[in-house]
Amino acid sequence: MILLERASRWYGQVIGINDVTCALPAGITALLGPNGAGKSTLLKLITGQLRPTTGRVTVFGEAPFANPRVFRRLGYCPEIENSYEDMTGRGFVTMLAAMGGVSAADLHPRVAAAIETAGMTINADRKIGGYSKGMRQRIKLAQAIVHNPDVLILDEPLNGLDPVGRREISSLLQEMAEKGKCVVVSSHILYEVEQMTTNILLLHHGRLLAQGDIYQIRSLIDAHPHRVAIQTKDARALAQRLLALPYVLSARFDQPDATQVEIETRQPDLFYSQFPDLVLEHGFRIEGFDSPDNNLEAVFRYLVGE
Amino acid sequence: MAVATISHLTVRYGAKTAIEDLSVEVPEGCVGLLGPNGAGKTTLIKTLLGFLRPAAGTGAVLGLDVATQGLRIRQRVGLMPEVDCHIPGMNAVTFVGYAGELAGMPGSQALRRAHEVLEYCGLGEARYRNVETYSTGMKQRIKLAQALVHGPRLLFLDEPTNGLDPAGRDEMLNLVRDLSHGKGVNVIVSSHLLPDIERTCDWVLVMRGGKLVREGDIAGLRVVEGVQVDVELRLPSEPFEAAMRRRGARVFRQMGSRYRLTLAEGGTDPGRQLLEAAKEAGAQVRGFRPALRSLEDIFMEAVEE
Amino acid sequence: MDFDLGPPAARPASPIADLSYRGYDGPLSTRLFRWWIVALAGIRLNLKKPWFWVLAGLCLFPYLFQGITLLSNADRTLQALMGGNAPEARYTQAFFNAFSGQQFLLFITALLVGASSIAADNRANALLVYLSRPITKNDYLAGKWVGVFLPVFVVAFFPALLLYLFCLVSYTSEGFWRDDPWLLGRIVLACAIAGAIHASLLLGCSSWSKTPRMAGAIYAALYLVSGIVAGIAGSITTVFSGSSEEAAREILVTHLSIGGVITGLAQNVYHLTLQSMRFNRRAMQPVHLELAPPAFWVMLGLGLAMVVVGLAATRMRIRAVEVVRG
Repeated sequence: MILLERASRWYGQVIGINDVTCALPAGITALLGPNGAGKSTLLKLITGQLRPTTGRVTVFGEAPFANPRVFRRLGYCPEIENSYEDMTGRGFVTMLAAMGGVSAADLHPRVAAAIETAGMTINADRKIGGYSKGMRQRIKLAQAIVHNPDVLILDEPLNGLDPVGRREISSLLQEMAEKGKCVVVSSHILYEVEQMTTNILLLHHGRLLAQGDIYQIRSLIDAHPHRVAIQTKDARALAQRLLALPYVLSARFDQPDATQVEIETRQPDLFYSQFPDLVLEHGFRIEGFDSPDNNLEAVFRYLVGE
Repeated sequence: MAVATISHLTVRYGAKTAIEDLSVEVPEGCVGLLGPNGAGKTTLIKTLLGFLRPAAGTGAVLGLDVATQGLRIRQRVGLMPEVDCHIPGMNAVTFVGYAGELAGMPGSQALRRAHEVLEYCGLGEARYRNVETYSTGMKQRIKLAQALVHGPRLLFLDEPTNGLDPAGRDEMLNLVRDLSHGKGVNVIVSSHLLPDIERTCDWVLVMRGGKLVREGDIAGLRVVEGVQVDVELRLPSEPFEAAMRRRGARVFRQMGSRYRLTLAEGGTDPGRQLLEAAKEAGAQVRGFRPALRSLEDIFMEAVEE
Repeated sequence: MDFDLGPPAARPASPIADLSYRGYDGPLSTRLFRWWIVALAGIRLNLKKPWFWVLAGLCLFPYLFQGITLLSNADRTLQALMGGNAPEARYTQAFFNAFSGQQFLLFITALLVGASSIAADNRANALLVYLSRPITKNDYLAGKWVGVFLPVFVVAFFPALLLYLFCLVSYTSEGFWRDDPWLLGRIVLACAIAGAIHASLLLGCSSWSKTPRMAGAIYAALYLVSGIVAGIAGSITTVFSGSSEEAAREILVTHLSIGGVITGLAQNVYHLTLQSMRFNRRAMQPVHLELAPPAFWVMLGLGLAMVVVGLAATRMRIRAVEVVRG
């Protein structure tokens, strides 16, 4: 639905994004990157606030810049906290719904539905000036979904929400993705993103660093072999056996009382197949094992390298 | 010794009761303050700092009464607020030094101390630039520095990782952990990001609707009764579930290929059981560990009661 | 020493120094002068502004001009031309003329110094930083007030001091000291009044705005509009029929503005009767008028009211960030 072809955008000499080519399909895609990586530039290009300096950006096959046809099918929830302080929440959503192409007849019920989904029914008729951070976030979400867009772009959507709210909105986004919409979420809170999707788009210094499924990406990061931490009382004896295996590269003992051994391997699949046999054969009592870096945060750290 | 003792505290904002009959003893170390929006966390912090007069009840921070000794409390307490705040027109060194002077440090001491604290918070050469030009990460560090400059015994941190990218968040949490576990500063962290709290705090207080609904040491709260194990397989596997059930375990499928198993007590080594079951079923085990309630579960349970 | 924080735990000696965080165990200064720290920070900020120095320089000129007038005896010549009474308080008159002449420039200086004092803090949420320290709202208020008052006072007073010293050196023999031994005191008082009124009102405007520009614009509007309105009202009601009560009322009306109160009080402080020439249309000839200082108690009342209102308005706005309801 969203396509970037060799798109670049710079501001004077400062590069926003540099030669980025990617396609964003239906489902949730997480847009990640350190500060200054170009995420906001990318979002502005997609939502039609900027034009690429070179290359092409197309949404539904058309360039989004100043294009009402695209805007009607696109919902944008920006990060900014300031808003029309004197308007009521309902008024704000209604105004933006009308701008988004909702017909006058549908306006009232659609606005009510959007406000209900965002959980703001009780506070919708108060002035935005009196809203807390969480309420502002919800009303922004309401205006993004009110015209039933096919593409939803969200910049830090869970900012200011308490854990209950985070869950609600996460499930809302997952529902929308299941309905076939393209949802792009830009966030710094990796553990939350991890629970929503495994599809990421990682930017760094304006360039596209990685795109795809995080587990696939993880398995391709050669430079950092897979770590597996095993908790057991016979850590050293187990380590001896493990080191005998040809694909185990190292064993580390971080805990002072040798209750955990951490091994590294470049062939995790092979390891996981053979490890249980080894344990059962020699009767080791294992309390647990897992891979501390098979998650988004580790992938991020390895790729961005900071 | 408790860092703060609160007894039947009631705080009102006009007609609204923000905190109702709250009694708690906040222990030393790093304490997490959780709760949905509007639960009264900010009100509690403000009351403990001596800004708000309680309508009823008493509170004492570091042995000083909240209602009458607010100034003395603020001498020993540092606050890192959630919102952006700075003094306009100053660079970092001047700002932090000024904050120190306002806390009573003589000028030369304040400047020396400002440099020390800025170094600790990770602000290098940037400290000579005007604070208004800073990025979010640097602004967060400045807020921490101004809270630390007068050497407080207790720190209040309100959403310390707000707006930080993953690297910045990592560093900030390391700083907080170092402060509370390495440098002996008592810390109270208020945050919506539960993994942040898990990483830094040992004790939590959960508030809802102005009342305390759960408190306790995190490790203790996480303990789950019975023998429960969380398993992650490479791919979801029905035969594995069947094999476990044959061994008398209850199987509950979580997300993807994760399962929570409740095994019969007094049986053989759970690890052995599930590895054998996996072997039988031809499933690849990618990890398992004794089941612990996540802080999120604890929170949800406490709040939905 | 106040508020003893206690010594830190003893650390074992080690060749590698621990350069990370440590508690503060040094001396603490008394709480009585916290407001001065706030004031000093404000003053330093203003001293850095280049426009401040430009304006301060410009404020020298009215006094310089009066100095030249005295030197060249131009005022005596003017007096002779106009007719009327011989100049008694020649020197006091010079100082008052310079003071009035400086008013507009002083107003601009005050704007520059005061508009951003609290407005910038509001915008930057600085109050949260201030109030989480062991200082009271009064400390903050006093510090900010002095931070505006002092620069304005010094800008008003310094040129006057220079002129005073010049007169002391040159004209003592001609009765400078004899004429009015309290002159220096009057100068200080007049400048202080100007400083106090500007500081209080500006602080009030500043604390109610989120941007310095807004605060400055509001105060400028108040100052200028009140001046214009008082001037118009004055010229409408002024008839100069000669009756002394009516004259007093007419003089009072023209002084019912911020600037008017400042100069009115100054005139009272200097205890001067101004000489002025008007053209009386009915009689078709210039009329020589004597303008007594405007009614003292009214002026004082208004001046005090301005100071109190300004301070009260400021105090109302000093509070930590409001908790959002709901």
